[in-house]
Amino acid sequence: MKQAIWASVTLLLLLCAIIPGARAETVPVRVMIGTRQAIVAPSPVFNGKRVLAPLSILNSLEATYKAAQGDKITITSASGQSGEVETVDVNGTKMIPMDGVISAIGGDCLWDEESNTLTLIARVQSVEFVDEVLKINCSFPVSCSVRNWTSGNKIIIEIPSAKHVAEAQEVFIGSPVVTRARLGQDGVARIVLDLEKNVPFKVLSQPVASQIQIKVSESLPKVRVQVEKPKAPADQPFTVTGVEVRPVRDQQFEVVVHTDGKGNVSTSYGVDPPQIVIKLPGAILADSVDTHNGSHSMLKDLKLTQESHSPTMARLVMNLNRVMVYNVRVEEDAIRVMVRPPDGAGGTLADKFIVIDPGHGGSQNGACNGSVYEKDINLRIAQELASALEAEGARVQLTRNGDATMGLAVRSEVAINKNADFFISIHCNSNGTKNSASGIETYYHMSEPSPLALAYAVHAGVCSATGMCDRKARSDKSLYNSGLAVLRRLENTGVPGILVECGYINHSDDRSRLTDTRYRKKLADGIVAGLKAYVEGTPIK
Amino acid sequence: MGKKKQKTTSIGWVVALLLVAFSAAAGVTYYMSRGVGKPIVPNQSKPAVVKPHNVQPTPKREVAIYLPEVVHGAFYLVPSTRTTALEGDILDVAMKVLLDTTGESGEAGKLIPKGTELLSTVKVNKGVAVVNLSKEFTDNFSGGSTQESLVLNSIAYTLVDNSNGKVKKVQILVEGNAVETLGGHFELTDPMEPDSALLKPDK
Ligand SMILES: [Zn+2]
Repeated sequence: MKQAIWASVTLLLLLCAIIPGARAETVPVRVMIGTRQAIVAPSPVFNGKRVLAPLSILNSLEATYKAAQGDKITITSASGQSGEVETVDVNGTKMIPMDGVISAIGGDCLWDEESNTLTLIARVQSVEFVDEVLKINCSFPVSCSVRNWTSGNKIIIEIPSAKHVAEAQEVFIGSPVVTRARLGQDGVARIVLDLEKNVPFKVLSQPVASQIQIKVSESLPKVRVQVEKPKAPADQPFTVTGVEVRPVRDQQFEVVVHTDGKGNVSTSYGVDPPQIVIKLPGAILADSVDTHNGSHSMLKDLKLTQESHSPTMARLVMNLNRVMVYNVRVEEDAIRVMVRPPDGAGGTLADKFIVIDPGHGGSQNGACNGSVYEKDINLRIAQELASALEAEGARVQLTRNGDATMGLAVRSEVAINKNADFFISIHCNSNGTKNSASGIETYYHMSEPSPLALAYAVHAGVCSATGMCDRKARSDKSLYNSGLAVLRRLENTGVPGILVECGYINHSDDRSRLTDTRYRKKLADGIVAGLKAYVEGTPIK
Repeated sequence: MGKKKQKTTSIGWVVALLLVAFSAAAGVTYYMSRGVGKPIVPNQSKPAVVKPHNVQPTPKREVAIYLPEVVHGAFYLVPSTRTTALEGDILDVAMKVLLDTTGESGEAGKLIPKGTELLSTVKVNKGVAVVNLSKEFTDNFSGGSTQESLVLNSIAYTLVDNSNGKVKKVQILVEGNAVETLGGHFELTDPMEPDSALLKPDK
């Protein structure tokens, strides 16, 4: 019934447009077939009563015609619907009224007086599933989007400029793969295929077609589950009008980048020398931009430059007087970077209490290569580190000081229960193939700022002291979705923790160093240098 | 539209309204006679998909398993499509094919600890696949955090990818029991989700 009302409203609207124009003046108009403009010559016209178009428009509608009685022609759509339409002579060209054409082949007309545009909406005439192919017959060519919803075992087809015959309808299909098709309407004509299981599909028809054909079959190549990577948002241009340094506390300041709209930010971080780099993709610097507004004792200098290779990329470099942490907030008219010392920084290393965790132990050997066990090397390095820290005056506790078997949770609990300032877990790495990987990795948990700063500082110290291959300070999320067990337990405890992989036990170069006291001494000195940079703000080298 | 109309002659309006009413009625009749109410039915003369021969030959199926690759010292997991004659649930088949890579050449053949077997069929409940492996899985593992990460993510990716969206997380059991860890770095007490950081980025 709603369908009928819709149709009458359309006709009513068309006729309303017709009535006042008694004088037969024609104006050129646009005819849109769905979202595509019908390209015909001469142009379709509005004669004050109705929209008329040359016969060639029927090609764009994939309809055919033949002469009937008098001035009439019979029009037949691709799906076989037909009806008669009277032709009208417009300035010597034979034209046909579009409302008549649409009545004959099925569909609706929408007239927009403001833009002199007539939009044709196709009718979905029928849906069938034959020989693994879903066929959607429309009154004239349309475009559609097809996607599959793997978790729900569904294929969803949407036709933006079409309407179903009825509001909502279900079509039983009952093939071994497709149970049924459900037809619905909300702004677009939608067809949802309910599948027995997830089955691949392939669109066989042209991008614009009056019969949409979609093959749904197990014989098609399997669609691989794509792990979605977050898409970088398009860099909307924005203008930087000024930069301001606002002291917050003795050791804390905020850098405010004033913008004329919401900006974009990506950051990079360094500890040797301490630096925070804020990249501003999309940024254009205003001519008058002032960067000498305010200062802070922790901020050595601040430079804002337009990247030479890109007129819409700027870079704000903050050189700092010590290792700091930061967080960035992007607001409608500003980018705010809050900079503060990391948790546990300040004072001297001599004031600090550090829990050192030699990985594995007892029945858990960790990685091994012949008779070389990770658990033993970890303990040796930990003991070396303990003496180096004690030499600095720091208090130290090892989670195990012998070959004991320990669970993962209790290790971090030592640091939490004894209110440690830092937790450092010592490990050696290994992979499948001998001599294929070498070097040091330092892990922090997820993207927590203080552990990240500690990992960066210690990693820089260790690489510089040992000259080992730098395999970067990284988030433990790059290894495992929930991170490293001992670091995860420190979440929200205020104890910054890191895990140092001191070398590859299955690489002969790394192994000969790991089993050498002198190398382990260098490692310990490197970790101490990183801790001192973090706590006392001393340079790493 | 139709806003421009001046109320000039009332006779004109009567005529117009009559016309509208007539046309609307005609339109409705026209629609009713054709489109509306016409049932949309699948073509029943040709029933969809019947394969008469699917009992005879051994069906070969494809599974995707995830194996490690080292590129310039960086580790990645890369999908590898394997054809198998193994029968049964696709997740069991995929797991068996993965466990069977032990001894293959390169990094891939050294992934799964030697002798690891699938002890029971992979069960999926609310998006979590439960995989029950034999004790060799933990007994014969001797890698570092890198190797442990590759083994666990390889299993998780393999199950997620072959499940057609059914599996989101994976719970690994050893001899039917939940275990704390495989190699002493990552916890296995909760179901794990594979992380995209290990997948080789597209060139
Ligand atoms: Zn370890």
